[in-house]
Amino acid sequence: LDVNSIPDIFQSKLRIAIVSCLIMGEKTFKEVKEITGATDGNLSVQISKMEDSGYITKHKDFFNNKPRTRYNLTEKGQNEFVNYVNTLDNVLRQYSNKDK
Amino acid sequence: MDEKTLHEAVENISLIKGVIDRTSRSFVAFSKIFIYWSILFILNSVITLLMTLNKEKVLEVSKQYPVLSNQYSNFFLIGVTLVAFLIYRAVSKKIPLVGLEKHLMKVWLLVLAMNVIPPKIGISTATAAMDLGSISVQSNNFSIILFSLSIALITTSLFTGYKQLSYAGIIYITISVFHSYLNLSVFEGLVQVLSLIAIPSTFLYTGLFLKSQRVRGN
Repeated sequence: LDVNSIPDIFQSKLRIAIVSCLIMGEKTFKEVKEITGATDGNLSVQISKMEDSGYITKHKDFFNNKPRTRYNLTEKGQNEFVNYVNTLDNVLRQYSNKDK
Repeated sequence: MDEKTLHEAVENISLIKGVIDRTSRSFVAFSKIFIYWSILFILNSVITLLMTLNKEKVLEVSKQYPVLSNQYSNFFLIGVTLVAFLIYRAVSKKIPLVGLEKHLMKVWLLVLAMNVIPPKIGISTATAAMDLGSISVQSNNFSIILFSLSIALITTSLFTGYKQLSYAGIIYITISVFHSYLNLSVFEGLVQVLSLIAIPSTFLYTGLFLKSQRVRGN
């Protein structure tokens, strides 16, 4: 796995988990937190980084008079995730071919 | 290619797979909780049945330890509910319930709590001379059990789109209404059996149904 060819976003396990969770559709901050099991602070920092890089978009609204933040994966995020999974797939294929 | 690279790739793929599994609306945790609950309530029904069949022995114990025996059934029911809640906590800790699953589970927990609340029956006599020892009172909350289960089944059906659960709910309401408003003493034996199996069989049916939907990938 060539570390240099992988985007910075996928260098962290938590960021990989966030993208994997959002690939299934829109999620609220609370839902992402429950799925990833991350702390509020750590999650906020990583989400901000991904937002700045253009991987995810944020929508703020009110639900039952309470503020709610929803996140979506951008097209760039989706494409990069697919590429990343393909890279991982290639690594495993190369290894299995080498084995044969 | 070195071992470290391979290990990293495998680790990241399993992480992605794990997150996607947890995120997808598979009702996997949901169905697991129902199946465990059904086992718990089958045990509860078996113990209740054994106590009913050995009424004399239970009465003897009641006479020997009145303080303990008066509260026994209440403690037992609270204990069963507590275990059910612990099962819910343990399963949802491993596979977190998200969004819809979580809200539906709250409905089911409330229905469960409603069914373990013991009925309070008071008897008042017109004259003090009446022999209370000769009065036998039988309570039956079969209709309430079925109606409350139907509420949870129909709510789950409305939010998940699985119509089969709604059909089961409608059948429960029909039986509940018939039992309440028609005097069908012929079926009393059957009603007693159904009272014992209503909760565990509903949990088992819901659990297996949701599990089968997951297997089919719906």
